[in-house]
Amino acid sequence: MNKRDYQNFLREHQDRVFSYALYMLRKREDAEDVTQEVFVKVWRNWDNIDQSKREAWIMRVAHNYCIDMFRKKTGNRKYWSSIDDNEYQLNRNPETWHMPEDQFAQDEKQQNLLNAVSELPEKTQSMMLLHYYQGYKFYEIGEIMGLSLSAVKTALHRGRKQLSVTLKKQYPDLAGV
Amino acid sequence: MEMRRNKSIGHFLSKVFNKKAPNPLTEVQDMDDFDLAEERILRNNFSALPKHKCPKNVTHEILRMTVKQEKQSIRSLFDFPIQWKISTGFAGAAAIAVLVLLMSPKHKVEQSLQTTVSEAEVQQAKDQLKWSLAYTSQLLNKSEKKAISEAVINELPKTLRNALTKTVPIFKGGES
Repeated sequence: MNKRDYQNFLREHQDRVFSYALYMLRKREDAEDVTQEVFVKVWRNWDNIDQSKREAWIMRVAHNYCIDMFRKKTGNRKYWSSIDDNEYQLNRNPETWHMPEDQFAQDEKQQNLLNAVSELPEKTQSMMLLHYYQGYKFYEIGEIMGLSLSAVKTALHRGRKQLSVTLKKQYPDLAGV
Repeated sequence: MEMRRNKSIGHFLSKVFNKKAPNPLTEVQDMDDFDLAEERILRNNFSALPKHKCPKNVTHEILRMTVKQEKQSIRSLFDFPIQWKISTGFAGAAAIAVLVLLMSPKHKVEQSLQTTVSEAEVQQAKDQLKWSLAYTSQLLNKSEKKAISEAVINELPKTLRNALTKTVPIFKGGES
């Protein structure tokens, strides 16, 4: 095993896995645990994973961990309320720091979007994040979630419709109304 | 209107090349304007979400755990059953003992003595041994005769002793 390759891979993908886990699980500690578990598992299986499929592999492992944890603890996480404020501060665009009102409005919009997403079924939430937030293509989502291309298209179509309805009803400013 | 025109061009191209023309916004081919508008809004909303960085302590912990696992895997290579360990230990100890004996100074002295003795010296030693054995044998023979005369002849009556010493030479006091 080449340690440097692993460290480069870790550096390249850790933020992606952490962000995905954070938006799925809505708790920083859980997202940290998932990220850790995923990359230790990658280390154990490094030589067995096809190099071209490593990224899809880690996202599939991350997805499975998130779904497991999500099912165990979903009762407490229906809404996006437990996000760490310091974490938000760290990730804000420095140019907008001097405009607290704009930032507040932006934060509220993001929170509303995530609340609307949290009303979707868990797999659809995952697909929406992978497609719209992380930019994965349909076939890549199919590889990650072990679904056919048509199943991904159908699920995303339904998810989009459902999310649009929720946004229009509860958060019209996010629905472009 | 613009979108519809693009879509019809896409359909035309797909018919000509028997291939699906890529949609600039999404991979779904059969979206109408309403769907595309929804798609655009969702993309804008999601893209505004902040990108979270993985905390450094998590990265350190991952690297620490990988190092730990690597050490464990190296250790597991030597993780034999206890019987194997005992027998291997005995074999090792025996091998070391043999090595120590072979390399001890006494062995070296013996080796050096063996190598310095010549053939002539060996022959001389053999001869000396022959002579010494013959001499010892003669001495033993003499002492046997003397012992018989002292223990047996001296205890006999004078007449019988005189008669025996005249007839049997062994009783003459060591002379054969």
